[in-house]
Amino acid sequence: MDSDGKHRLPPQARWHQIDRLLEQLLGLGEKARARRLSELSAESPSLAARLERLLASARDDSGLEQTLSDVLGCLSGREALPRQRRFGPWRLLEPVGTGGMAQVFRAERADGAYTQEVALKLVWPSLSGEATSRQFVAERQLLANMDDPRIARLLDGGVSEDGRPWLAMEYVDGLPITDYCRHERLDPARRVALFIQVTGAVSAAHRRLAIHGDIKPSNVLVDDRGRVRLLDFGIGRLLGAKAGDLAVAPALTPRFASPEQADRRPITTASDIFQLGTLLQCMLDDADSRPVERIDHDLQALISKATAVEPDKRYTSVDALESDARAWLEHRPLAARGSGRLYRLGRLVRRRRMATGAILVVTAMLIAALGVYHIQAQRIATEAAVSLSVTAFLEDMLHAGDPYAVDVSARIPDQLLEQAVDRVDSELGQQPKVSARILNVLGEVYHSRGEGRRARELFERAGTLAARHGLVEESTRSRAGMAAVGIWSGDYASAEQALRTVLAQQEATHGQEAAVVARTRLQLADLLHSRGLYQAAEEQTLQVLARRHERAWAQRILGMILRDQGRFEEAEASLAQALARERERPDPHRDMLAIVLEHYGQLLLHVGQARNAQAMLDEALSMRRELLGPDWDGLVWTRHWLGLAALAQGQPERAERLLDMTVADYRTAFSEHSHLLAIARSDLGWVQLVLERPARAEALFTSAIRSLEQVQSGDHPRLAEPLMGLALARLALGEPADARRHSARALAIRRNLLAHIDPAHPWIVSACRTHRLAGASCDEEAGPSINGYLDLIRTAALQGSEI
Amino acid sequence: MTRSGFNALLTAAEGGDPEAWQELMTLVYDDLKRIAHRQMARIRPEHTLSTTVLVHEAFENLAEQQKLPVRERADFYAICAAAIRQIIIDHHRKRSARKRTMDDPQGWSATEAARSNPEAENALIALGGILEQLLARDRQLVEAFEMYYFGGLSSEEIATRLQVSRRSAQRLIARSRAWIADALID
Repeated sequence: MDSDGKHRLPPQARWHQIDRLLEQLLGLGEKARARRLSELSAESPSLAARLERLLASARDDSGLEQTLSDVLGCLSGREALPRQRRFGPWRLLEPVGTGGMAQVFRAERADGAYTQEVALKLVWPSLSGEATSRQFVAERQLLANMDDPRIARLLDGGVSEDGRPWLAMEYVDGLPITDYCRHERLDPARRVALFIQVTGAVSAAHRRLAIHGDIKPSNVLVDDRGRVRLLDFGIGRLLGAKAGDLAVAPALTPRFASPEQADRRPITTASDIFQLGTLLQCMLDDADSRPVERIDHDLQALISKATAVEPDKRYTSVDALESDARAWLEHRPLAARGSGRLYRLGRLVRRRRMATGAILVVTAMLIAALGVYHIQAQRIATEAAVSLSVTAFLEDMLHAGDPYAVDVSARIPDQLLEQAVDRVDSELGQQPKVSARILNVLGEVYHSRGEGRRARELFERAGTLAARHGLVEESTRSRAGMAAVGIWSGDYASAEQALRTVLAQQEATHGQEAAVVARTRLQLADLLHSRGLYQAAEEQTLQVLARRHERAWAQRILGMILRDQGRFEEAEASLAQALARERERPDPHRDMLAIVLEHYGQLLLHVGQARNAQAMLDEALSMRRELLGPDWDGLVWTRHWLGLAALAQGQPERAERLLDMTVADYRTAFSEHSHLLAIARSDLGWVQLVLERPARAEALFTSAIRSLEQVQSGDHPRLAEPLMGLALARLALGEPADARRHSARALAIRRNLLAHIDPAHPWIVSACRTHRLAGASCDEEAGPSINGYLDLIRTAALQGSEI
Repeated sequence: MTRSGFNALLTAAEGGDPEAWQELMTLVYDDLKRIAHRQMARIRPEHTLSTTVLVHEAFENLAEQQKLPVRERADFYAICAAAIRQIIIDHHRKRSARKRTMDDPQGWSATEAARSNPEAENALIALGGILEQLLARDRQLVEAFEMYYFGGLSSEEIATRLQVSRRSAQRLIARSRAWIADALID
């Protein structure tokens, strides 16, 4: 190929020089020519050799004749007609093409009944199974009945003498739609208008239960009057029917196959929607169009939605796709772009495209990155800088603190991650910068999977390496990573310090308004919430909301902060907004949706709506399972809240099982000092109380209290829970004085948190009730009926038996 | 196209009017392709194709049906030869373009053609590339080549059409053959 450098003439000046000499030599007699050649050879042997070769080619053209003969044969499509010339009433005229599925001939009516030309498709022997089945006939009938001027009709069909199925289709004279667009130099709007003709035809067919299954440019012709005609409607399914399975059609055209076709899963109308998206992409990918005319973001969003890997993320119908195409033509907003939140859209669209095989890509990138580094470790340092760009892709996806990365990162195989870590150790020793970068990226991957402890190790290593070699950027990054892990892991003071440092650096670099600042601020809010510093946490969150960044995430965090301040109604409003936002995304991320659902479920538990809470928690769980596989055992919050839901619904045994697992999970993922671990232990303590095991409960509450006391210098608001539990446990163990001491402290914490909001708040009421159970007096019980609140369920469950 | 119209075009083309030549080419181009298909269907696969059979049969066919009013066979052959050259170059261009953009939808049919006879397809593309380059370097070389190999014109007929001596025409043919064969063998 000339593009490979073969089959090329020498450079121009050189060529002219040689050509002049060649002309000269051809004009000479044999002797003179030989003389001249030997003179030339003395000057330049290579030039003389070249000329001799050219002269030989000029003398003998037998090789050339053969080549030209082949070439012309190929050009004119050297295709013999099959021996059989008549198929049913049809007589073959000439071959018109060869496809992956069949040879195609032009044929005419041979019985003289009337004049008609058809395209006769003779299916390749390898594709024809056993003889015609009843299904084949039935499906053929369905297609033959389809009477739409935009669809080339299937007229006839049968089996050849040598057992190959054949089909006679209406003969259509036209150009493939992409050629037509190019040939007519259509502008994008006219291309989309043409595309709408195609969707109209496909949609009409779908209403008659016919699926095309092989939509591609060469099957969508446009005639000289600009009318679209679809070829080969349902032929794929027809062949599928022949193979005995109507639903599973072979992927006839691999390049245009939908993912489910490629996997040989049943095809549905969603496959046609995918192929329509691909077709539109082809129609718009025009080498001739100027860069200005490149597909705009709206069309790209439309195509992305049509070609989503998961069929259920595509348009629900061809009509919906068509309606978006019309919206584009009329400059109206597209459904594919969702409502509002424009600033985020570009990113979502990009992500959407990335979702196609993103896991494979990440996996390949990890391997490639390490492979590249391995080779380059032996080379000079400057090359390492170049190779850093390989990780840029990973970083982009696993942006520090970007919760939307979880969908992807959660599915990277564990084994691969561990391999990657090992290879950093064994192969990257000499390149601290690359090592630190990769360790940070891997830390982020683990963090996004909720594996805090592992993430922390990696960030620590990256940080140490960065510090030793003075790598400022990586140092900041590992600090940010550590801080993010710190939100749940127990080392809150240093995490807070780290986050504040990172925040200051980011503000200095990117300005107050940057999205990255907003994300760090939300992490800080999350951390402050963990420490029980609710007002400070609320302030940070409100700052983010005021700038309208990351609103779903901010509203979720705010909901959690409000909940723990006992402000249930405000919390519910905030969570409802967060949930609506997550659900409305054109590209919902199931992991984020699951987290919001869990928070909402938690809130409903608090306010006594156990059944609704259970429904939400179940939905979150099934989302996670769907996302991460049935054996998913990663992020652990769900189990914690299901345990509480079980307790609230009077199933302490189930609650015990779930919370036991939760405690074990938290210990693995976080640290002994994690406030989450403390809270899980406290919750398990309540279960033990209900199960009448006060000694076990006592140990759990004591441990929880000790942990929570270390989370901040003052009293963590959630200390009230284990303190109340401990009071009841001590009471049951015959230590009423000690019990009163704990219940008094719990009551003080609760009053401190809530008295200014509502002196009759359920949390004060329940603390009061505990205090009275312990034998003290407490008179704050005026207020609305508060039965059913989670906190009260705990104490109420004990009232009958204990006192 | 009427007889007189065609002849007028031909005269204009011979007079060096590039638009007339272009129009003439498009006229023959499509016919030639269609005829070639029909012809090939009749030729059994084991028969090698003489390079000029295509053009000659096309002419016979059209003349027989009185569809193509031409004063001289050589005129027609020369036009056909140029058309064939253009078909080959176009094919080469399409394929090269496809190599640049993986998603070129046209990729399909040609890939399928290549599947049936990949070697000839490769030779065809290579030939197109060389013809295109050579055309840019020395147009006369290519014209001599196509008339001789695609049109089956004699060196004398070629000499007349190129307005050179017979010996010069022979050298042109030899030179073009040398360059093209040499490049194809590479």
